[in-house]
Amino acid sequence: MFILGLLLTLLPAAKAQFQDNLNVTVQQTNIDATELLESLEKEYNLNFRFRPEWLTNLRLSADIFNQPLSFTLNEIFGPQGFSFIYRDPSYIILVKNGSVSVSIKAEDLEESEMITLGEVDREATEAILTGQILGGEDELQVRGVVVLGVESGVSVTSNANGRYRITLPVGPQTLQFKSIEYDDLELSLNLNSSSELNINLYQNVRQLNEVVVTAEAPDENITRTVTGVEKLDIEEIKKQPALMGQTDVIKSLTTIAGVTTTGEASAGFNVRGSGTGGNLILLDNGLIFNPSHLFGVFSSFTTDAISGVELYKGTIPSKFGGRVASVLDVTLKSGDKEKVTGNGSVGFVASNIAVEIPVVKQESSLLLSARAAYPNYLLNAFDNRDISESEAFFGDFSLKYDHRLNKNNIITASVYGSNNRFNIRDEIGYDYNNLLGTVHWNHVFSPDLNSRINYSVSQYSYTFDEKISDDLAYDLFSVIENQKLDIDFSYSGIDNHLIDFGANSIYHSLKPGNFSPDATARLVNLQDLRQEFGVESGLHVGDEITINPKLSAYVGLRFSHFVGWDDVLETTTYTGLEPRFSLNYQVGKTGAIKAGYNKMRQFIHLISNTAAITPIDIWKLSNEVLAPTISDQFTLGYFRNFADNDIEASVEGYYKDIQNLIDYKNGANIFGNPSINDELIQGEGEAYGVEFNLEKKTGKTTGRLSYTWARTFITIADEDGRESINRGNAYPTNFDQPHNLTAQWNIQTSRRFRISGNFIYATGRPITLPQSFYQIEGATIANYSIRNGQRIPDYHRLDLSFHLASSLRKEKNVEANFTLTLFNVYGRRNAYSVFFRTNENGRQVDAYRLTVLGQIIPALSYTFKF
Amino acid sequence: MIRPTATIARCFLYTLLVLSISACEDRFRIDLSEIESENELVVEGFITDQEGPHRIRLTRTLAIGSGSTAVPREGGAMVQVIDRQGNTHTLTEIDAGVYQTNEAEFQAEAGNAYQLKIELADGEVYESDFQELLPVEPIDELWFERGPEEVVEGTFVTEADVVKFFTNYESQSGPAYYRYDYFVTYEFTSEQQGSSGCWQNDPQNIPDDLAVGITCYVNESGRLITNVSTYPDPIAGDVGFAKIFSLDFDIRFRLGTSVQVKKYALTKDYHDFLSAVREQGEFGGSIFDSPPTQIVGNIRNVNDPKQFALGYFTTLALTTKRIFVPGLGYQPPSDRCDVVDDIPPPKDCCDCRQKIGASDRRPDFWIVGG
Repeated sequence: MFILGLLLTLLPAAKAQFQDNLNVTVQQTNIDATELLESLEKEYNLNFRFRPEWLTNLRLSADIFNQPLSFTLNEIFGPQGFSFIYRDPSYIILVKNGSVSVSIKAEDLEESEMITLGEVDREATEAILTGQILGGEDELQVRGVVVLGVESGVSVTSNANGRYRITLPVGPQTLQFKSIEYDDLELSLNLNSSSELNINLYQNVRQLNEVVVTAEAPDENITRTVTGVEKLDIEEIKKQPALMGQTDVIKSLTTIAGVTTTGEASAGFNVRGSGTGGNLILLDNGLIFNPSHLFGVFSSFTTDAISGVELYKGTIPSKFGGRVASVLDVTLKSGDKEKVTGNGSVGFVASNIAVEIPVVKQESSLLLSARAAYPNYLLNAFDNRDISESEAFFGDFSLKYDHRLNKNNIITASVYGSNNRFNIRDEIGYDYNNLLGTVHWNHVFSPDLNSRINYSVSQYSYTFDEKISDDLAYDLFSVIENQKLDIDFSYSGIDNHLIDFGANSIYHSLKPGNFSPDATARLVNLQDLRQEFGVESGLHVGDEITINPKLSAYVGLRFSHFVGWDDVLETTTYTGLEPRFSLNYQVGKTGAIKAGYNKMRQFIHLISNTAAITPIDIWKLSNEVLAPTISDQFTLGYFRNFADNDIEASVEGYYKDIQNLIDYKNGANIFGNPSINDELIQGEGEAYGVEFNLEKKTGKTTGRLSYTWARTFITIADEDGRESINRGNAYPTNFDQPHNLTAQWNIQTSRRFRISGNFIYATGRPITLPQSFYQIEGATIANYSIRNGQRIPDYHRLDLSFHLASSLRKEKNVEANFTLTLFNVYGRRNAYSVFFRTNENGRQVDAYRLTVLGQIIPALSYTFKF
Repeated sequence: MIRPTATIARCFLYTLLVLSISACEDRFRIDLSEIESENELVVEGFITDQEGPHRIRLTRTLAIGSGSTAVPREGGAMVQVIDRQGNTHTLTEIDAGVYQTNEAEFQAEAGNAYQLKIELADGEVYESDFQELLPVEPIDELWFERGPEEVVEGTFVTEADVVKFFTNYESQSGPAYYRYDYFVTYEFTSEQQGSSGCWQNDPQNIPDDLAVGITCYVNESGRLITNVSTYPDPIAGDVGFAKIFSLDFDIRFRLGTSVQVKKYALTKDYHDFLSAVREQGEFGGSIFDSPPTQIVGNIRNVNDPKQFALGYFTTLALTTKRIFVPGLGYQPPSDRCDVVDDIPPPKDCCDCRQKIGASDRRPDFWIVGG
């Protein structure tokens, strides 16, 4: 038998000379097709490969004199529905016209099989392949599957309906389907004309020594149209060294060029020079306001419960809006629908477990995940009364139900919560919580049109209580509640277009600060802060257009509308259009130039006059005095892959112009202040930078090296001059860290042992230090005449982790790994801040440094999977 | 507006985080000489409704890395106080940078408003806004209470033994702003009064009237410039009384103490200025602390109104009241006045008059026998 599939892997490129230089003569009548080919083989020293059953009972006639071979074969066999693949030096493969629509189950596919699609069209050089990818077990539409034409280097990703559309050269080729959740599939394909190919993929049956599953096509770096999107692979996040062994999504983001934090105790992250409040953080499409435990020491998402993390920092698709800096889109995992599985970890301060349970086999499943910290036994062990009488707790849980009603309807529902509590000597207490519930309905109208409706309710609340004296205490309670509705459609019915459109709306209700009734009764001057309300809506449309195989574009437009009110201020409305645009021009097969433009508006602001998110920060809606922040971003980058897509390199520059950026006035006090508007001032912001990224993706050593040079400034000038900052000159924002270098690597030294590490270097963030001092009535006063005029010392840190996997026997039911993490290996006392304080005699000003996590912190953790 | 005592919480919190008791804050050397600065004009001083003379001092800022603490003085300026009616009084420079009113010619009055005008030798002209001289309510009652009080020292909270002073106030419609200072006079005797042991290495300097059994009265003034308060109290509310200050329980409270409490009425603006000065001193650099900012006063450059001089000019009405604290029995460290290894004790152990601020003349206001 002829094994066509294997031959295809030896695809040569020299067919032109072979078929065109050989002229043949065929003059036969009513001859058996097999005989005809055999005679040609003999006469011209050719070698045909074909399936004999195709030619059974086929009789042909021909009268061709001295014509090129390809012409001849097409004249004779073309009308019978055959075409030929020419292989150097002398193989010619006979292939039959394929159907224009084929469905394949990965399970049934034989390795050797080649699929022919479409009718032979001699004029065509390109054809469009469309189709839908479904889960083999459950017929669920699979999004995010990368469809890659191996030889042509073209790739696309399946959309939320599982639909894909790829333009490929006509002819034989290899096509790959890659996804995280399903086994990869490789097909030998002979594409004659535009066709449909539907695929059923089957779940990975992973063994310990599994093949590395990548979320992206090997060359997604260069083929993706939208710029500035970063997909984080959960498996990669888990490899990174993490403080106390608690793998951390947020900290992993900071290895990406352009993403930084201002220090250890900073909740959230800064993207391209913006504050932490500029990031839209979505968990299953619901809003999350504080993504951190313990003031940012840990992330509040348990990695084992997450299936995907995407960060948009460049061109942000038009379906997202409402924040100026970035979108972090986190998706909770759907449970396994076949069998009960689970994983978890046990550590010194916290443990977690995630279990996936099929409810109705192949139809519905449940994910349950929980994490809890138990630092109290450590605290109690201290001699120091202040510590032993303090308490701390943090934890989070997730729950997701996934139900496939039928082929066209899937419903998921998820609930997420996180809690943080501290009590210090019974005197000061903090308690903050995130709570989120979402319902999601995915409906398929037709293979080309599908809709997603998502409704979520989220709540972020905190309580701060302080005991002033034995009989005097107060509680400050703050809560933000949101309801969010998204209706999105995607349409793939027009060639070379992937269209998305829809609408979304968020209702915000903010209670920025209410004092406990007994406190307000006794402490007359405590005033509840005014409650605020707002509705934030958007209409959006976007289209990803393949103009030609070299050029693709994304064009999007969003119309944003905000209306806000409170008890006192007039109802305020703000509206605006937000164009989003990006262009990808491929240079050769391994390079691409990408350009983008993006406009964003933000109506809800994180008001903080400290450097990072603290649990008692206030979120505030735009109102008649606090205008929305508007950002315009321009990007330009060059992306290039090397060594067969193993190494990705890119350089990307950006420039942002930000209007109505908020800073605080001199001497502002935010806490419990009923007139915060008076403490804030808005100015012009500007941010620009260049990001270099180098990534090695496969092999025993993998890793990423990124360097960013970036600046960010704000200018605040008022008419009177009293509120101007730095005399109205531009000054660096709190997040201005010009040089930022991160390295992250994994070295698999043996099948069971891996060493991972990361190194971070960043210029110290700006800080306001006194330039001079003066005396008034004998007291020495430091003169902070230039805001953010100096910097804290540069930040650098090395972390290492050592992973030991359990034995490799496949039949083991439980898979276990030990990880030893060394955080801050060389014990650098990185300054969180530097400040000056007049010393006791009031005559001298001394510098102090505040350090958080200033020593090496080792931790051992045990992870398991069943 | 209230402010959490985050300073207290801060260090513990970090300790929880790192689960260790290593210090989270340390003195730290940075190269201050690289910080550039301009020598900005600093104005200090106020006029009161009392007789005077009142002094205004002009100085310049000193670069943070200069290593000196002597601020440069600004001499040769013309300094004037102008009232709402346009009456101008020119101050006389009595010492470099120190300008004084003439008490015969100038007397500020409650209800009027005053402005400071400064013309520097280099021609730059600065003007304050008008500050109204608010009348001050007399102090009604004063009382004291000894007890422990939490004090923040750096990141450590310690309990100090103090004597707290309180006053009552009338409930008022709007908030009123005050500042309190004190002038303490206390009775003092030396353990070895009359002994010449303190001069054993220096016998020729023994005072010739080294009397036995005398009692001294020591004067000490306390300027608590940032000791501002608001009535009703923003935290405690309109409770009708307020703590005005605390004095450490020390030698001052052994035999008997007379405390003269000085109360100044402040404009809200000046109160806010002093509060900002106080907050700056408490700044701890943690995630809970607002980054420090420049404290903007009320004196503008006339040629460039967006530029301010540092400091503040204001008018204050002053009232005083005296409270007598009988001996609370403070015990000084017992070995303070012992002669150890031939080293003589401090001179005030042998003669109370040698203590700074002491006199053996009983003041007129002293209440004999408590």
